Amino acid sequence: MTHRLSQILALLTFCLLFLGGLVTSTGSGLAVPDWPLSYGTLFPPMVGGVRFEHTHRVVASLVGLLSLILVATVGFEKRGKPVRWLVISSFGLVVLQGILGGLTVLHKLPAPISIFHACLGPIFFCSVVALAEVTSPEFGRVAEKGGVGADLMSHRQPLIAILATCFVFVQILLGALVRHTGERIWFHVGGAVIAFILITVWVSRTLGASESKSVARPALFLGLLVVVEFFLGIGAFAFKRLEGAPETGLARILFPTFHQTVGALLLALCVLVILRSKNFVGPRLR
Amino acid sequence: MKRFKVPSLGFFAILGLFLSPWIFTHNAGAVAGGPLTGKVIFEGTAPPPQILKVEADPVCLLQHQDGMTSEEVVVNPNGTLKNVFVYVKQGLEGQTFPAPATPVVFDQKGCHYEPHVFGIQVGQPLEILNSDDTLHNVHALPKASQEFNLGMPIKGMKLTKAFTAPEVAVKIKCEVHPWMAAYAGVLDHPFYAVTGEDGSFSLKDLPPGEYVVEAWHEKYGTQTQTVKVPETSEISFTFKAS
Ligand code: HEM
Ligand code: HEM
Ligand SMILES: [Cu+2]
Repeated sequence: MTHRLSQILALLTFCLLFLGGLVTSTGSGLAVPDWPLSYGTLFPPMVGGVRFEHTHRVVASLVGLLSLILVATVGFEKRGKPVRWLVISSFGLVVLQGILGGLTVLHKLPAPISIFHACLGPIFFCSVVALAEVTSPEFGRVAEKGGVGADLMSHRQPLIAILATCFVFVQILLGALVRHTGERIWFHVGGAVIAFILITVWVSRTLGASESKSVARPALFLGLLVVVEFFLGIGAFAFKRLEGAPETGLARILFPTFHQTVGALLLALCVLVILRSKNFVGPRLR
Repeated sequence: MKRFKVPSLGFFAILGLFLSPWIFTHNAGAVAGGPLTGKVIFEGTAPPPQILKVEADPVCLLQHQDGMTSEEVVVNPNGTLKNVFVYVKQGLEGQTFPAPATPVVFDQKGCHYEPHVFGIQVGQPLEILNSDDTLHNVHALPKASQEFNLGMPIKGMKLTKAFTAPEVAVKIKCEVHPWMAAYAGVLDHPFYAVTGEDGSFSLKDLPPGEYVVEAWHEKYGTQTQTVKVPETSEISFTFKAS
């Protein structure tokens, strides 16, 4: 039950990240001026910018509700401590995230709150993905064997795994800075080069030493997706930040939104590969 | 003591009577100043009209089946530029002009703002209407006054706001309908005008003095001129196509 629910929650959260990106990219964040209600009701007419902002709110409420249900089921199923902590922290994160979303509306999108909201979203997503992973039956079997992937403790891999993951997060933060202030894009581009190198090295080492598909698959996906992310970033830059870029058009909305969502997916994949790697944190989480 | 009271009252009454013409004319600022009138000319070829897509809201689409024309640049048939805010920028320092109690009416009608550009005094009420069968958020983005974002979900709804500091120009927009935009010139005096269909403006009852007059346009920026009133009574500004 906990596993199924957390899988559904992970999927729903992924959609929510995309919907949130649409809110920012379409500039609809203030189309609904009030919070927690929308124009004083639960369901305002879905027109213009309200379509984006209110859909984001409704799906966010579902995500919040599901997180709450998970708190109940995990208590019921008497899961181990790590799982209980993951559930509780996920719930805490989603509440905080919802409040930040409301606050940024009430204060008319001040950059610091919007950036905080943009960074916490992917962290919450990772927390839910980790939950779905450690509650899976397969993970149980794998953990008994001490993990299936490359041996993270040898080849000095913990360092590169953690560095790469941290750098993806730094990229999310620097990207949010660009997105909400329009400044310091070159920090973000520089960070992209470092993140790209770190991920490539980590992925190739993991693939070289991996004994099983369950770690090779997400690692490979991570390696491919970081390339895609690079091109999406160039697209976002070309259609939105370059001088003379058109003021309207679908490319201007979709490139940054996909870029932002794939950024969160990269972070979650990093977490997944770490969890499945041998002799590292994963096996201890049962 | 008591017997002095009646004559002294009479003295002040007579003094007031003599002074009253001076007080009144001084307050109205009408002493031989004058209107400063003129035109805002547009030079070059007018950019082609920009058609805004409004299908994001069915109510708006119903009223603008063939799209809506952008009001960003409107060149009049007589070669003048519409929606230019002309105002006294310098020369009135130290004088105070009480804010009129009559509100400026700002309407959301047919999914656009009426008027598109307007002047308003600091503290003067801004009466915001929603004449549409759809909802709007009205989001004003001043830097000197308090920013506000208000929801107006019901047709016929009316809200009143005011700006607290001068600023040219304050953008007002709607995030529900991203094509909606308007600009307010906020001043602490009444000497301003917005060009209309004939591109002319008139700053009435301007007291004698030397002034810096500015013409502001949302796309073409600002231009200034220094004038002496009443020596000069007519000026013109020219904006060039970019
Ligand atoms: C609970 C889970 C939530 C998640 C995971 C989430 C996620 C996101 C994400 C990823 C973005 C895009 C940020 C960016 O592109 O920079 C976003 C934007 C936004 N979210 Fe949320 N959100 C949540 C809840 C809420 C709630 C409850 C509100 C309430 C009003 C809200 C309001 C907004 C607004 C206004 C934006 C646009 C911010 C801007 O343009 O500056 N969010 N959200
Ligand atoms: C590993 C590589 C990269 C990662 C993980 C990454 C991640 C992100 C994320 C998550 C955001 C959105 C933040 C938010 O919505 O709050 C963002 C924004 C942005 N990124 Fe990247 N990025 C990478 C590479 C690049 C590259 C190579 C470019 C190329 C120029 C780029 C250009 C941009 C731009 C222009 C934005 C702002 C989009 C907007 O204004 O809406 N990124 N990045
Ligand atoms: Cu509107």
